[in-house]
Amino acid sequence: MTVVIGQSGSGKSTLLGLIAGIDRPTRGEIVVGGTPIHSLDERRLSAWRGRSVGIVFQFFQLLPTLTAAENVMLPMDFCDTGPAAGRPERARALLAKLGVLDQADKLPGTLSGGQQQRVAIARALANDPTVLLADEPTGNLDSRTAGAIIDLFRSLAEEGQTVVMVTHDRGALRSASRAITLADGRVVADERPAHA
Amino acid sequence: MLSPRWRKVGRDLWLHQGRTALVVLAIAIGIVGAGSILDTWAFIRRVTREGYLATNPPSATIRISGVDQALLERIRAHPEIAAAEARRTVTAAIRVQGTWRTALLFAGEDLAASRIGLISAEGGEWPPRDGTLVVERSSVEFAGIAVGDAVTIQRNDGPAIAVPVVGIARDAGLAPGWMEHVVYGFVTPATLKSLGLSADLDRVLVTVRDRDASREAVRRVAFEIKAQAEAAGYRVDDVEVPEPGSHVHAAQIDSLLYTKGGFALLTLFLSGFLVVNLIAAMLTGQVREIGVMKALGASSSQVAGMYLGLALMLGLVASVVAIPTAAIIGRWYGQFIADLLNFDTAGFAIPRWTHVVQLGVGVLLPVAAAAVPVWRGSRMSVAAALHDVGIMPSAVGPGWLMRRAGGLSRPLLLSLRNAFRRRGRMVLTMLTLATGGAVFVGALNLRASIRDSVSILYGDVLRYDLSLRFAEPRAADSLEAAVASRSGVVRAEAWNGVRAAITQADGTLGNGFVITGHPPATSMVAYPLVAGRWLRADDHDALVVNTALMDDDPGVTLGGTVTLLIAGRPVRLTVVGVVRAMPQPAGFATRELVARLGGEQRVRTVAVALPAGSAASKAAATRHLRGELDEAGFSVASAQLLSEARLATEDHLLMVADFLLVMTVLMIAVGGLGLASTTSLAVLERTREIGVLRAIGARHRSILAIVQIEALLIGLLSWAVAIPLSMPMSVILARAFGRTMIPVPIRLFPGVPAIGGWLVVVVVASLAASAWPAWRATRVPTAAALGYE
Repeated sequence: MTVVIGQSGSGKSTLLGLIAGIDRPTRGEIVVGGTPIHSLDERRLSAWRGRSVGIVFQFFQLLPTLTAAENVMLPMDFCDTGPAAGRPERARALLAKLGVLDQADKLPGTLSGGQQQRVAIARALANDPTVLLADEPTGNLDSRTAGAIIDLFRSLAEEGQTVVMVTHDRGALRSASRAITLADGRVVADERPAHA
Repeated sequence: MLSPRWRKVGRDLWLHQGRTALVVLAIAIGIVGAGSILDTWAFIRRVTREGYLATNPPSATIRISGVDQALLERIRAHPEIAAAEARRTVTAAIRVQGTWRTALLFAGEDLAASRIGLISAEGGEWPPRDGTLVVERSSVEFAGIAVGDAVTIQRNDGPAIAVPVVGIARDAGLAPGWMEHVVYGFVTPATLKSLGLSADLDRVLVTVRDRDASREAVRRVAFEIKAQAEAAGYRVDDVEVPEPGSHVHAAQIDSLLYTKGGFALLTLFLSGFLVVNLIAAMLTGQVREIGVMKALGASSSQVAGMYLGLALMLGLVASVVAIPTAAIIGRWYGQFIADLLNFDTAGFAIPRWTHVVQLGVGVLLPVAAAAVPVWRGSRMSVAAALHDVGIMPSAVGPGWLMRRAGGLSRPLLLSLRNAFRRRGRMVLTMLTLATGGAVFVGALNLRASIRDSVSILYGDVLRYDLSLRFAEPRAADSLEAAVASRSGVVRAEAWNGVRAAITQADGTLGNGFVITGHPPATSMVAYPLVAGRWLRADDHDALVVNTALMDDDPGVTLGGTVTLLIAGRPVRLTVVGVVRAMPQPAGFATRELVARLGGEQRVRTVAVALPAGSAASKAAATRHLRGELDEAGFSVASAQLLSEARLATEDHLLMVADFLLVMTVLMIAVGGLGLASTTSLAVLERTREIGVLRAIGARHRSILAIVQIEALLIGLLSWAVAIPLSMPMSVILARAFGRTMIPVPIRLFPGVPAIGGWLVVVVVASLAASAWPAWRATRVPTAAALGYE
């Protein structure tokens, strides 16, 4: 689990966008899990993104007209992962893992912030991505819920999931195996906290 | 089970029910407008074509005096002739419930066994027995005839006989009696004998073997028969060859429906505009979700597919509603026209292909309209989509609106500036409404043009009040003097007429027409000259023709000579002038020439000018005059007041313009829907601003006013734009009308009533269209407005 920290405007979100293939580098190369994504065209990039990257946003960005379970099934639908008949089951399994199975058939508007973010994480895991990217995942949550979400990310990392998280939350550092500090678009520190 | 993305599409539609309903309504109106005209056209075409062909119409009608069995056998033996039958057609006067009218009587040996120009029984007896009359159904209503009535028939100076009406029949090959103001009747030759006429049949109807023969080929065959008959000593007067397989009014109906079809397509096009607007707005609201979906791995084509699928679904729903509606309207309007044209619609359906076309258009129209905004939206990069903030801050309106000029209040200024914030959308909305307005103003202009040309026709061109047809022919001078000497008659002028047919260069005959004989210095008619001159007293062989005759026969030229067959003899006349008069081919010559050509010095028709007065006073004067003339031994067979004819003409012509006005209501409705959607989108996009306004103390009234004035401004702009747009529209409408009906003067500039009427329509439409969005704006709570993302 890698945590990227830095002040506003230091380039954290841009870095995340570059890894996700959302932003394009003006120069240089980006290799994610062995794939040189800077050389992919838009069509290949979106296919790669769907399979290899799971993104968690600060404002959750669940689609308001789909239920929690349907939000989780959506990436599988786009990337045509697994047999269609198995998707509802997989979505429910992911929601159960994140502790929100009881919310599976509700619309995002009726969920609390913490519940929405859990659904969003389940959605990011839908296609079993190589990398889970999180952009300020706790930025819109109260501190108790934020702690629980960070714990969730750590347990995912412990299960072997690569997690890259951009955050202001110094508390996240405690869970990180690697901490990168950015300032003015440059890496100013790359530490491996002792407990890892 | 539906995949999550299609469930999203479905629920998005459901979530924005109002907007969805608006798009569906817009597409549906377009399809109902265009589809009903298409249905009508296809239906009428099928009914008239198949209905007409089912009567086995004659390929040619040849007028031969004294047709007998020997001649018929000879004609039937011609290798290209399939069948031949003899008939007799006689004009007579008929009195129904005290009113004398013109009757056209058809007689044949056994009409029920006839195989050419089939006549079908519609009620009562068929065929007529000796001494009875069967009436054609298109004459029934206007003449007020019913089975069981006793009517009086008189032929010129012959005996007047009372005959019972025993049945009603339909002859789909005739131009409708109500249109021609003629009572069509079927009788036996014996009945004609009792009218003092010979029972000889005088015309031969033939059909050719080759059902696909061209008009020229049929003309050639007909001419061979004419030569054959003449060689055997018969007199041939006229050969008439109609356009094969086509009803007398087919071309007129076609062009009428084409004109309407043009406007129906325009309505469809306008509703397409509205769909573009709505789908673009829908996508604007979805940009962030598009970004999220792409971040989750959706490709551009998947995103595009979703939104095009959404458009397709809207189209399907609209089609399901609109196609049956269009079919109901199309069938109803088609039946109305078919009935006017005297066709039976029973057993005919609207052809299936029209529904397939409508479904195709209904489904593809929204997809096509959505294509550009969807393509743009789906190509947007993920980053740009995720960072979308809605309204571009750059679009704030033209410079003059930025200065607070002319003491405008600040809320008013806000409305004005708001109207210009989404310029593309505003222009599209404004143009949609303006196009509807242009057609509206154009249709009102056409209405005024029609009234103009009717008053020109009946005021300036036809300068008499009454035409009298006498039972017996008399010398022109004595008849004129007899009428002119009566009290209450201002002027009287006797006219005569003769049938003629143009002989073509190859010796065949063109269709027949009537040459009316006028005194050269007539004061009763003044047809507008197109070229050449009117008749002169010293003319010996001069003919004036109308434009319809020139159109019908391109061989007729001003200054050239034409060879006519009149009363069986060829005559050469010189064309000295061309006038605009009546829709059917016609000629005019001096009364002396007509008398010489027809071999008849006496006349029957007198045109009468009455003192100026009301329609009622003229009707009274007519009754009085008829009484006086009858007493003096001048028996009047029929009398027609011009004012009655004028009313009927005007009513018929205005019906066309009124139908156009109905079409413009549809177009303006589409424009109003566009304005409603633009306004409600503006309210939606500016929820936060409205919240701010409320937070700083704006009252309900001010918010209502800000929204409604913005809509009114767009409405007023379309009012202004529609006026210059209406000018080409007026030209198009007047030309199209001139081609199908009667020539009308083109009014380029709309009159005050049209401009004022359009202003009222646009103000009402703007206020109505913005009422609901404005009310919605007042419902926005301050807190929620500020929280809106």
